[in-house]
Amino acid sequence: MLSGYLDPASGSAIISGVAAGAAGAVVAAKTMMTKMRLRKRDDAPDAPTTSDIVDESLQ
Amino acid sequence: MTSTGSSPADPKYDRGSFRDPSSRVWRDGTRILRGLDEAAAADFARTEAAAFFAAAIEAGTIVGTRRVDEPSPDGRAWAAVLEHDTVPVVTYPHEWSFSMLQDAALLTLRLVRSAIDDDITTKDATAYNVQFVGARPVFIDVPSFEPYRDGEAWWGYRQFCQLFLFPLMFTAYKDLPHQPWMRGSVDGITPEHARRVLEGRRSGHKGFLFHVWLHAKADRRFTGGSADTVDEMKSAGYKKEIFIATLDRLIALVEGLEWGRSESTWGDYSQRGHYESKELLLKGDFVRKIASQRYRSQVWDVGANDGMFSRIAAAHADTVLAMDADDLVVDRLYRELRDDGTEGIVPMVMNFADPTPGIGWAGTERPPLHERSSPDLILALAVIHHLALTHNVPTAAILDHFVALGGEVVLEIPTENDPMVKTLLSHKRAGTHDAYTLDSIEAQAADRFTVAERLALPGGTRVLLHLVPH
Repeated sequence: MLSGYLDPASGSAIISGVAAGAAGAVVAAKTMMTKMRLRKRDDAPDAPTTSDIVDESLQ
Repeated sequence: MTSTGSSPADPKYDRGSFRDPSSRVWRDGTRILRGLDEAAAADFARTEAAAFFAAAIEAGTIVGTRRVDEPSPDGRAWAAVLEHDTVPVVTYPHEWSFSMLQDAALLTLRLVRSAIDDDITTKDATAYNVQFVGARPVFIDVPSFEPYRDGEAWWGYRQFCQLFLFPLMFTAYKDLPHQPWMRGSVDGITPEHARRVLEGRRSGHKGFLFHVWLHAKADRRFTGGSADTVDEMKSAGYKKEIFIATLDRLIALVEGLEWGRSESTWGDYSQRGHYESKELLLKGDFVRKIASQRYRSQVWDVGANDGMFSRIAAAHADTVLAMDADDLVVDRLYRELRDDGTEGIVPMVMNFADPTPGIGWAGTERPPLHERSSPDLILALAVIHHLALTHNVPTAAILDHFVALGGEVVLEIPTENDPMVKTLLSHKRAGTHDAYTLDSIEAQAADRFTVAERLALPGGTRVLLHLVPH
């Protein structure tokens, strides 16, 4: 069930977890991977790759 | 609670109360009322039973709130109606100094942190949920609290970043005043805009990597609604401990933000070096005499500086709005008032030559200052020359504006022979301000007001007038 009237957008929701530290970062990484898998399944033309995310994390 | 946008004689919904469809605010006379729909009423029942809520009400960090039985302005049968204590004057984050915004941010975070121990969270985190009663921040959006559902992240995180964290970082890390950015957008600063401003050689600032840089990147990568994301995060193992850790880290981050600037154009103005101490005492006596003639509801101190005259007026008024265009001066005043517990003075960052306009939906969601406050008395001490000579506002227009505001005025006129006036004129093309003379201004004032009292300060270059509307 969605509770808030706001839609904080996916990116913000994921990053709020990252800010919590290691446990949150793991959750965020898993969520991102899920999203990427779903996008690939849908053949989204601009779907990011795993290496995209890894590269960005390392920047 | 806020009291903007509705006429006391004609109860109707507040123009700024519509974003959360589960509740609406209206004003009935001096009372502030709020209707809750079924879902919001159920959430409030949980909230009011929680220990954190009772403690916050007791401490005054959440606005005083009680259930009442009142009809709504449009006949809608709300599931519950609440009455809130009134806030004397509504102010907005683009009128707050750095420390005011920081204290409002910490209040928000600490309330959510204490609420989560009772399994309560907030559905948003806008800076407009906080108001200042004197120099004390108070959380006013009671229906923002709702039960925490296991596995959900904090819904208010993005708003908190846009309306609290990024503006604070701008000032702390870049010495950029947050007020123009907040005034420019009712939704605050986006992660991408924050990244562009804060990124650079010193982008290793605390909090930048996660809250700004990654946030902006994630914003671009994962656009769209978060409905699926909530489920995905829950499946990935998101739990309450992560929620709490997020809040704890945000609290530590915001507590650690400091505004390093120690100087500003007016930073040393409080020393009032251009006044002889005898003149300052006489000026204080003049203000005290007029302020004490009768008790007033609201006083505006335009160009309040260190708040010397605001403090005098505050002894004879419900609320003094201590306005100054210099955010550093206002910040110092706020911290003094906060630390010594002075009540009745609300500091505001306000350039009287460019006051707060209406912003948000239809330009009425967050109305301009003159729609939120009606001064009974205006202290315009040594500001007319700045308005006239620095901002090129004709003196007649300045006086007309005072007339429109409707209150009495204590007007200090630095004459054309005053050293400060000469300094300001030295930057101007010769002849541009020949009309700025004591005789001319006094004549214009007498046309518009009754001059109840006049005092020429002994230095010979400053005159004080007590102006009463005809």
